[in-house]
Amino acid sequence: MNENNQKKVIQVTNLSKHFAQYQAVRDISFTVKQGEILALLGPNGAGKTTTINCLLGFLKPDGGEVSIGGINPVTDVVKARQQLAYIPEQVALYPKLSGLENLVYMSKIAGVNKSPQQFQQLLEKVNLPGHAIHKAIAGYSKGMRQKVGIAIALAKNAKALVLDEPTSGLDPSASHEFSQLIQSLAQGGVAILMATHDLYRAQEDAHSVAIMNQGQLVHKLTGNNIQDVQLESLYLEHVRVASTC
Amino acid sequence: MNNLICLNELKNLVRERLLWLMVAVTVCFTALACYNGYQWAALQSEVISNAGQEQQQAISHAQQTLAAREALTSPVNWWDDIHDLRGQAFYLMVNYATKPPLPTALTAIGQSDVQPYFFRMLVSEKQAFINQYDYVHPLGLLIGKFDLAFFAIYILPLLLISSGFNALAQEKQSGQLQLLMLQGLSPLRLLFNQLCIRSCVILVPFFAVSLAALMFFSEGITALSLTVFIALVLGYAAFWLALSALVISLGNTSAYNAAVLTIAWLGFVIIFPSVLNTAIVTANTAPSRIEYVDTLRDKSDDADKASSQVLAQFFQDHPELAKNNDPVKPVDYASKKIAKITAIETAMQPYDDAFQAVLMAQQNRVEQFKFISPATLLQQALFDLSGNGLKRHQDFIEQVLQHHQALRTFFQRRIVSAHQQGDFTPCSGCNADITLPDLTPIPEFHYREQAVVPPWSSLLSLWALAGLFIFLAVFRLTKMNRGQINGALV
Repeated sequence: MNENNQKKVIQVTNLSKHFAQYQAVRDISFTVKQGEILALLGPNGAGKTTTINCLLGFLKPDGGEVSIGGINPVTDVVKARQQLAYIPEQVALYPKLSGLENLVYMSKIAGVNKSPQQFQQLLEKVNLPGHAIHKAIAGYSKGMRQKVGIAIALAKNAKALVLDEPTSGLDPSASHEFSQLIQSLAQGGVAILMATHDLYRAQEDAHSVAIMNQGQLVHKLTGNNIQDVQLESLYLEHVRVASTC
Repeated sequence: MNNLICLNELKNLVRERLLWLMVAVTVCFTALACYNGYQWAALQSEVISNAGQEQQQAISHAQQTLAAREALTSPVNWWDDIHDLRGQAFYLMVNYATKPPLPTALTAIGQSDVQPYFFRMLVSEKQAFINQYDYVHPLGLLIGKFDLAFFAIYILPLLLISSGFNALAQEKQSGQLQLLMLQGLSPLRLLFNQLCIRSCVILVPFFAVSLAALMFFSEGITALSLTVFIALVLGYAAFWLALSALVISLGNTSAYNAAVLTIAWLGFVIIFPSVLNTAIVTANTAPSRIEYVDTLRDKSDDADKASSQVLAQFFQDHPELAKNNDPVKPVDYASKKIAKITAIETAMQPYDDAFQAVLMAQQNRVEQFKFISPATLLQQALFDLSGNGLKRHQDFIEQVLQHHQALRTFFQRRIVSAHQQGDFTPCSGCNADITLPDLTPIPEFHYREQAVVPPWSSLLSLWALAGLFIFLAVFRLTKMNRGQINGALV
């Protein structure tokens, strides 16, 4: 796909957010295009989750702008959220309902009308074991919950997917399986923003990497540069430099 | 979408087995409350019916024994003689003044267990009978009766709070709220539906049981009474649901919501009404009942000591009775007693007026400040609706006093006249003449029911309070949905 023809789905422009005296995000800008995976790296407290919350419309920015598919969540939160799917570190679903019931409920809330067979096919598509489909979510592993989360995103046909620490706590095989799923979503044209500490997964999956520290975007890498650099050294260098400053 | 959310909420409640527990608790408590209310109303009806029968039997008995009395030659004491005006007036009369329960009586026992609903009438000073029934078990005063009003005022808010405190907050804490909001669901809609379903789980069985009981046990209950009862309880429930929504909209944890709502319950249901009661009683202290009884005894003694003056005063006040009075003929016991009764009542009137003034002042204060708590609003309204409130009781007492006066007028005229004609002592050593052959002319009491005015102001106030909280909650939740409240969502 020609990079210039790709549509900018997630746009963050000079975003700032503070809580009382604490400046959580300072004047950051980045974009995520259709089919692109952007890995947002940074230590705890760097401002990754605050940035995501501004994108999701859960926090109102103090300065700058964000938009999802051209829609600013501050001015039209409902339409902006229609474009989005979100998978947090812990996918929270109704524990007494089964995976299928959760998927059906969440999807119908979003106005998605599919047959029960189609919903079941979505769960099969994300490799949720057949025996688990009708079991209560309370008995699911984290990886299985995330698969249901991805199925919800698939059902919604979201233009952008925001992931917050998606692979934390997953075993290597589940992490790999998850990685394949988001790769396939990106190939389907979904813009993916993934905040993570997992440098290996970022280097493997992302088309772009942005490193944040103390609320600022301190480095950006795109394209082939990601594979060529020692990401860990670069990350530590920027995090240390910023910390010393 | 509302159906979908409600269905999901119901599914969750069923799977947590909470639904059945809440339904069972509500049904059992409501049924018990209805049973208690019905029992009390049935007891009142039975007592009143028995009183009526006793009164009719006394009339029949007097008719049946008249011939025997006429033929009687052996001595008979006038105080044992049902055909003697004096015996009937002071000792033997079976004449009841009763306040029948309304069809809505089972909704609230109210103060009817403390306030008398029947009086046995005699010709005596009103102070002697009007205050004689107010001895009650102190424990009964403390805890009240477990009736529908008690359930609605005390238990219902607790059930609503316990079922609703974690609505939305649980979704927020466990993270489902973010996911739901990204699916396009607003916190306002989610909370509204959750509270609707959870309150229905309590309110539907409550109304099902209570309305069934009212329609089955309460003969003659009107559609208006039922509608007002439903609107009052719904208004009160709406207040607690709206308050819950407002507290939840602050975006704190479930535990915080539970703590705040429990404190609110304590405040509105227990503390505010108690403080209000204490303040009113302190500001308008009723005169001591012990002093009142002592004064009554003193006045009675005074009247005995000054019997001749008392009698002179009586005939001065009732010249129509005095015109044929023979100054040489000794005044009989009955005339003296009537004169004494009149003297005591006159002497006690300032004390009665003072007591009444304090009661009225207290009642006016309650009317002024009942808006301090929805619990006092509902209590007043349900008591009035059930016919067991203070207003209907005061109206009953007014009618009892009028009846008492009518009885006295009936007897005193005839007693004085009989005395003047020598009917009580026709000859030396013989029995008195029959002065009351038939008891049917004795005035009977018929309670005149005042039109029940629905408690519109209480109803309006409850819904207005609920509306205010709903408005504030909607405002907060709308801001929360737009991410305009830091920390409310993340």
